[in-house]
Amino acid sequence: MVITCQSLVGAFMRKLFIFVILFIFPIVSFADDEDIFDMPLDKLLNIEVTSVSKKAEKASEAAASIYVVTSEDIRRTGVTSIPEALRMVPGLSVAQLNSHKWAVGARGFNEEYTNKLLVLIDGRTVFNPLFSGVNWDVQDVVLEDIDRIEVIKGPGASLWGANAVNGVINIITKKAQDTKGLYVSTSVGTYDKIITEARYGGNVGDNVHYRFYTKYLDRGSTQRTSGESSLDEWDMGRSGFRVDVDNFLNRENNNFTVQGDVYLGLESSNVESTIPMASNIGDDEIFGGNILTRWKHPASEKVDITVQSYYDRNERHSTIGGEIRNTFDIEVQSVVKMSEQNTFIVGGGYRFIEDTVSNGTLLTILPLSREDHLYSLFFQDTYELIPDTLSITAGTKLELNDYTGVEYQPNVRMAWTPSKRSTFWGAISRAVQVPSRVDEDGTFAAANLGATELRVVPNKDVDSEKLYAYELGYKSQVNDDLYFDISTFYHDYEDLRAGEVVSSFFDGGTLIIPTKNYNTGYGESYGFEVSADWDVKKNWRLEAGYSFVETHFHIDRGHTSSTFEVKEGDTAKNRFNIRSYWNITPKIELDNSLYFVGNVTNNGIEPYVRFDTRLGWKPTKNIEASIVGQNLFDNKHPEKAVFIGATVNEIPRSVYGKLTFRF
Amino acid sequence: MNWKKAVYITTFLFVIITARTANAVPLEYKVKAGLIYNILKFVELPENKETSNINICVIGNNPFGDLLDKLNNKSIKGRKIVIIEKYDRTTKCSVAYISSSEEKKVGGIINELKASSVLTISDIDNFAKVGGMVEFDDASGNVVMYFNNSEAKRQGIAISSKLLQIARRVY
Repeated sequence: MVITCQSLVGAFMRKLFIFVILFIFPIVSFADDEDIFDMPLDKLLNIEVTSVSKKAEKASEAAASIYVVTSEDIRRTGVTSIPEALRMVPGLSVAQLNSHKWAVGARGFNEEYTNKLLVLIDGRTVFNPLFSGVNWDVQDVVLEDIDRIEVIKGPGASLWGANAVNGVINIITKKAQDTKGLYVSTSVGTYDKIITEARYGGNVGDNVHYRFYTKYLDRGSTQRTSGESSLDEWDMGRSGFRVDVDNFLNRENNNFTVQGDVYLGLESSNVESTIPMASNIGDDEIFGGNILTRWKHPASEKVDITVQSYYDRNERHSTIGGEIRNTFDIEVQSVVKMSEQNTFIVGGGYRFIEDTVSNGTLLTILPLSREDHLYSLFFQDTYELIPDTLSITAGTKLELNDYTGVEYQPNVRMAWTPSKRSTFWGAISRAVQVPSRVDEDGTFAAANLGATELRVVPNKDVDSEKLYAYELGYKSQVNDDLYFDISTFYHDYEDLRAGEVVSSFFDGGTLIIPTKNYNTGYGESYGFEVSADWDVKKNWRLEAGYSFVETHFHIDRGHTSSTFEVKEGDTAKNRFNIRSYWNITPKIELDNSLYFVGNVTNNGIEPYVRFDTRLGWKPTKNIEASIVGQNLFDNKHPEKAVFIGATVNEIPRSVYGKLTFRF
Repeated sequence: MNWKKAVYITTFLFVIITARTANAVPLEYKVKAGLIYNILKFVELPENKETSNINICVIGNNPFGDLLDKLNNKSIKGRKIVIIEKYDRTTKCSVAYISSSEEKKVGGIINELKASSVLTISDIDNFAKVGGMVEFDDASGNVVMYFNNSEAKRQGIAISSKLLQIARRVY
């Protein structure tokens, strides 16, 4: 392509603007309210008027450690991105590396490319197999359209497949039925300079609902410790749509969904490092899109079939290399109600991934193009030993991938619900993390010290990492006002990849000291997560979460690695957050969030407290104005370095004002 | 890239100016207005000597805008509904909605109405507990109702068991 990304961004923004002006505004219909007096009582009582979380009810029955971030949590904490919203989840560690990079890990392993956490948006995986991780910068939606973010901590691999080792994050957007009308919102601030969103939702007849949206953001730079700008500002624009069809093919309870997004962005980076060569300045150009269809079809009273397929493309071009990736995925799942007590789920899937990379000076990936196929099959059975009181779930996922061959990931779970208000649960599971493309194909020039070069070389024979997890938990709706949840875990890891120095050799006049990854590491981690939601008064809600994790890494006897065991120090052991949502009057909201993160040994990150406050005013149901202060307790603080040895970027104090219209 | 920002800000200012803000009763009060009308279908109010109308008085600030006025044309079991916004002690009410603006005076108002067989409704916290008859609570996301049936009975007001069944709590 000859067209540069920058000109594309410009063209895209112009189109976006014309689209907003010409398309969205004129078709806004200021529909009158339905006649409230003709509605029957039961309907009136079911109308959501304040949409406070229903998380307790949703999460309370599952035999797993689940935390649900609701749309209300997102609105009231004033967070402006998905990774920021994940800070409130006990058991997840979120650290911002620079303006557009976040490291999100579950139960430890807080690295930029945390390979043990799977992330899905409406059923589409956004886990990138190049480095094994998630590029959080491109994972975005209109935050108002998020129905909930369900976070499963611990292995979810039996259902979700490889890489769902320490957790699964499911970002679920609202159905088009629930996003009717016009929504326009804009924020202007000191750090998030501009975030503006517009969405319109409507219907064609009774059965077809649709929405489309456009979003633009212009975010500022983080700061160096000296106070100078880190020069890592970024811009991104995206648009998308969703159509939900009820009674598809004129059959009751048949639902068909089609949705898609496109995005385009430009990011600046300015990495400084004590390691020669690893410093770089440059822009990342990002482009991508996806389209997904899902068909839910009740084949009979007892059998539900869901067929989902998607295509996803993502492109990233930067000075240190680039990638173009196409993913096609199809999955079929069937839920069979065998009897009152017995539910059987069976599913299968196929994924095709094709990528083309370009190499920079630091990283060389060969071959430049690769095609991979992934086949999967899973089944799971839930049996109620004592109806509504004691149930057991057992299942496994079988996968065939091009990296490590056949993988099996079984689990068994038990839930005891002595009363409707509380559940005890336990689980034993096995999960695997398959190597990334870089693990198998990448050569990384880690440091050039003149006549000597430290180099990470690929290992084609590297195997998957395995986890055996043991979990116990208890959750209780103590009374109408208080919900409490505790989970404990012991994770036993085997075959972890550790970099070992192998025989050095001369390349030209340079002595190469190569490091190669072998499955010679092992380790264990243990800890717990606690959360509580308390409706103190009718107009005041408190939510809190605390998590603790202790991780130990070891290396097999007779082997040494200078880079493996130090990873213990990547994650803060203690994390705590408390949030308060207070309706001072029905029209005025005052919300405060406090997040504490303990010290991170690597890069010497001190413990920090982040305090955010939001004042919201809803003069009418159509307008909402708010002012949000973020990170108010200090001028700036670092959360994590891009890699060990890199200069840290610090997150500044910031303020933004937001205006929202809903019609 | 500054033109972009200018364009966006202008666009959104344009929206602010053109935004139609009139007639904006918050959804919770629309639902509550609907509930008040529905509740009356399930309540036996004692006959009033002076009028056959059902007088619904709004005590304190009216959060319903002009929504309740639409009830002026409706009738229940042959009795015409009349909305009375200007309430004073001499007003004969069949139903009294006590607005949350009266939170501090709520005890006094309940006492005042005690002898006159008025169905009292409010969304003030603990209203039903302290002697009001119908309390709305929307803290859980949707509106739920608490009834004080013993107080209603004492004043000769019969609340249908159908209605009591869907209450979150009955005192």
